Amino acid sequence: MIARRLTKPVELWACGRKWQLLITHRVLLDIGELTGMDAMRVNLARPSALVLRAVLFAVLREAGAVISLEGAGGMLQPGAAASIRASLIAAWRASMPDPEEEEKPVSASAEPPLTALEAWATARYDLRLSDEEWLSMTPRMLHALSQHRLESMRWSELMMGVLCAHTVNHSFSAPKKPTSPRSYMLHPWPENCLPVYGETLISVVADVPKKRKAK
Amino acid sequence: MNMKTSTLTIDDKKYLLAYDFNSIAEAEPVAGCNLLAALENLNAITAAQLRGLLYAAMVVTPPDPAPTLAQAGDLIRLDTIETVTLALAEAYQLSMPEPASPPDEPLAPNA
Repeated sequence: MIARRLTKPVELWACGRKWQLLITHRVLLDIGELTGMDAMRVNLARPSALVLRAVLFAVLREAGAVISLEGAGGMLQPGAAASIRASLIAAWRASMPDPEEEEKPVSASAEPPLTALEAWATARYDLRLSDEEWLSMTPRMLHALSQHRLESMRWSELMMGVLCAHTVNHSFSAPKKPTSPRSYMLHPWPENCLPVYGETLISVVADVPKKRKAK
Repeated sequence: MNMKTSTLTIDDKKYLLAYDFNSIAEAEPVAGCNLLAALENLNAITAAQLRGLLYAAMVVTPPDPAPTLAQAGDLIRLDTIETVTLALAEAYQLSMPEPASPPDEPLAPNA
């Protein structure tokens, strides 16, 4: 399974051997079924006993352990619960996308995280993944694919943007201030990480004052 | 599984209390609150959490008939709240694994 090889290993000792813990979409759906809540919104920093037991059970079952829900609860006795929880949090972090570098301010209008249904729809429709491929992936892997797709879309939009900007800037009623290809993109790059492309170089060269002809 | 239990005596009636993670997980939807968070911060426990923890501790080795959440709540009164809290704490303590015995002290070298 490729997810095991692409995810930072986090291991837990259970049922007489070590298991690599992964939070795949299958695990998230199992947690949702066991707890009745959307697993994409689970908070492991302050979990209830119901959630903690469900996460441990789903993760161990995904790893291949033969264990019951009560067996998972039996592992979470005082003395062992803290270290198991720390392992689950580490596995959760390893399987989830890294937080954005520039965190958006939390406000009432901030977008809520994707629900499991929305994540599945994105995987099926936008990324053309099969159900089984999606179930076996971690959200971190899905995010990497989505980012790659976004980058591909941006380059396509940039090409159209260059064409539009060139047409507008050289038309009969061209604007006094030339438009940039970026303004025609639906998914523009953030201001601080614009790529360098042909038009960029031309505009930079155009800004350099021309040398006066030697008399 | 042999559970270690503490005994709670209220109105001359004895109840056996035991800590079990499964019973806490199953009591949470009944009690409607986070009981694990209560265990981690007993200083800020709410009435609903205390009632839920008592219910979860009672149903491990339940009397006949098994108590309901409301019956567990009936046991918590101003005059019994301290006894209940101490009995719950004792049940939690009893469930802790016994510390490993320290290794034997090395023998003094022969003179």
